[in-house]
Amino acid sequence: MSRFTSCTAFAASAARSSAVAAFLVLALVLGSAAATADNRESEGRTVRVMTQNMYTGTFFGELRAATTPAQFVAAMTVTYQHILATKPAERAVAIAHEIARLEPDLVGLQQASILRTGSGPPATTVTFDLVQTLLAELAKQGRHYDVVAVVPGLDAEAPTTLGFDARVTTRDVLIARTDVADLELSNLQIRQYLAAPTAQTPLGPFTDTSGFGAIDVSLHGHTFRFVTTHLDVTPGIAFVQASELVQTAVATSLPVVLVCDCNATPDLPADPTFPSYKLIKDAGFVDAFRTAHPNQPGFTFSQAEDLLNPVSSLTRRIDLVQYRGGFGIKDVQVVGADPADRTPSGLWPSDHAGVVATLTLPQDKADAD
Amino acid sequence: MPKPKLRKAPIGGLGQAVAVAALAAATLMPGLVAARADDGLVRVMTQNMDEGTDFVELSAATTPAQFVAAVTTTYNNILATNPAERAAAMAREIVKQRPDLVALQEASVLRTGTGGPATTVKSDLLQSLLDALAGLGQHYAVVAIVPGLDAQAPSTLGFDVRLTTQDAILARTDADDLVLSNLQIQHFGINLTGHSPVGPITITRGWAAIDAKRHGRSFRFMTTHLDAVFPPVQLAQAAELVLTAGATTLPVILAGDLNSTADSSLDPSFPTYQAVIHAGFTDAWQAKRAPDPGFTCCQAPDVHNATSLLNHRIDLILLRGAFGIADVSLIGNRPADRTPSGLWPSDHAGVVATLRLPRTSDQDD
Repeated sequence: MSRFTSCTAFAASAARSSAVAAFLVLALVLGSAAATADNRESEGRTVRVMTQNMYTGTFFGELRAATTPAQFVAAMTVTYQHILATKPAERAVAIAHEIARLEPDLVGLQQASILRTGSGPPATTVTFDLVQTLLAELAKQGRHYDVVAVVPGLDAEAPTTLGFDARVTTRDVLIARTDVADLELSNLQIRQYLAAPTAQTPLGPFTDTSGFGAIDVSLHGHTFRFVTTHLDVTPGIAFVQASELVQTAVATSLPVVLVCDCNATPDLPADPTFPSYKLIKDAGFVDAFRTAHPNQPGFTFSQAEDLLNPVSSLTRRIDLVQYRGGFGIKDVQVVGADPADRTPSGLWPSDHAGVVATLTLPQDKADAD
Repeated sequence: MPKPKLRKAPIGGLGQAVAVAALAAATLMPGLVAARADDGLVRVMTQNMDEGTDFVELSAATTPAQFVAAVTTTYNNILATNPAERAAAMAREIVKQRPDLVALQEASVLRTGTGGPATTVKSDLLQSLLDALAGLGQHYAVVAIVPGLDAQAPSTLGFDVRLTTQDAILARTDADDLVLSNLQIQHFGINLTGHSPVGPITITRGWAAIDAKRHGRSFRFMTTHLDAVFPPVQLAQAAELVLTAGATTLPVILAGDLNSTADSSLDPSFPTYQAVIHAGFTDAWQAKRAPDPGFTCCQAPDVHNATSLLNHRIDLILLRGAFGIADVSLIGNRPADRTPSGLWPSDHAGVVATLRLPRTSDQDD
């Protein structure tokens, strides 16, 4: 396992050129100043992480119900219109506001989708791109984030009755703050799970692939792995995906923070989704929210499909921050579930609430300074 | 892995302060000003790492039994190409060339397992390359991965075999003046689906792009590995690439395996190359080295052929914008480049280009 040794890198660079060395000394000095100015520095060495399913804008029910090509094309039209009615760009702005307010260092985004249209495959005219809107709004708010990983998922295109194709591209995306002086990233991993559901439709099969994005993080001299994933909604498939996750993404001696839409509830042992959670728990992971709040529901799912339900309808907790290896919990909260979090049009930001956790960093022998 | 400079704020805050300080230092230090004459250069590379099979046996299988036997043969053939040894040879090429950005295709993973997804790693070209680079004291990090075909099937060996194809972009992490941002990774909307005795297998392909900035000169670096079988699918993928990854006002470097024969207008894959050229790209090799053929493909599937068999040019570095081409060369194509076992590093040669970056409007940030 690779380790970060900033000092070695500085030394190696310095040896190459005195001009570069001068530059780096400046960077080092400014870096320390910036670290001191970090308002969380005084609270101890912590990392703040977030998970948020951004919601494509449909539950795909009409498409699943279609049994003939004509029905499917009609259903694609309705689906396209429903997605747009959820005002995805407006919702991405609302989610950006949550991120701007809490400034998590690392964020796992699920269903960070793109909707495109075109006169035939491949459709390339972008109707919306949730991540682009999110990042643009964050920049506008003076927050510095960038994309670290993209996990491609379902990418499905079909004709509509509107005279054009619609294409839904679902992805999970990992973003990170770029203005944290000593946050360093390495060892990017992006993988797809072998297990994926294939829907047989009148227009042919569509496979909803899923996977994980992982990055090794060095923060304040502490090293850990950050992983995001979105497990399938069908418990049997989610279980196989979770078992692959445990054997791959988190197969490391590093401490790990795993954020997910796990589509599995830790709170109901009799629920068919529970075994997927149990598998991850048995791999040594701690459920941050339940540990911090033994008696609060912490529901994260689901608002109404059109996001217009006047009263929050969250009844399940499936969006999780889990960790393994010496982290402590300073704070865990559910975000985007308060009526005040809704968009100017009165839409919930997503059908899922987000979860934000502030964790104290484990002691890291190799990197402690 | 040391200090990637990958995620430092390119503008504003600390990044800006450092840039201002560097600028101030530059005006004070004549040596640094002189050095800046070369600062507009970037060196890029593309290399298809050769996952060790061309799927000939699997494509020929017509019954489930034949298919399972073909899985066994494919598995054995892949391991016989000694992927780790070849990755080490490619690492040595990278050490010699010290490219700032490396586009890799077929940086694939071979895994085995029994029951469920196979997760026992038998070979991992990307990881072997990174390990070899680290062993040689080089500082590179993965900044993009495009997951591709990921297929698992039973063999006659008592276990399943899983091949996971991936493309990747590596960046030097000790190139302190190279700042990266805006990672994009997408699959194509049109991919080839093959029908096998064990069901349909879709060969998913896509692209990755990352924006880079060196001394105020910004550009986009992207890679792809286009379809190898059916020219209309390949052409559709190239068209999508230009409309998506290529939808930028930044100067663009496209480094990849286009599977389109740039050197033969009679080849059925030639229209793909032509479409990219018509979209405003310049073929660096053609511009700098013609009429040198610059063949990049293909050695024998077992990469054990005694004499090089490269006879067409499909691995390309294509440029859009006012790049200067200081140098373009092939790597891994000479007999001396072979591994200690006498294997070619890959069935493809790599291509390395040293480019002078165009001035961009944000030059004086």
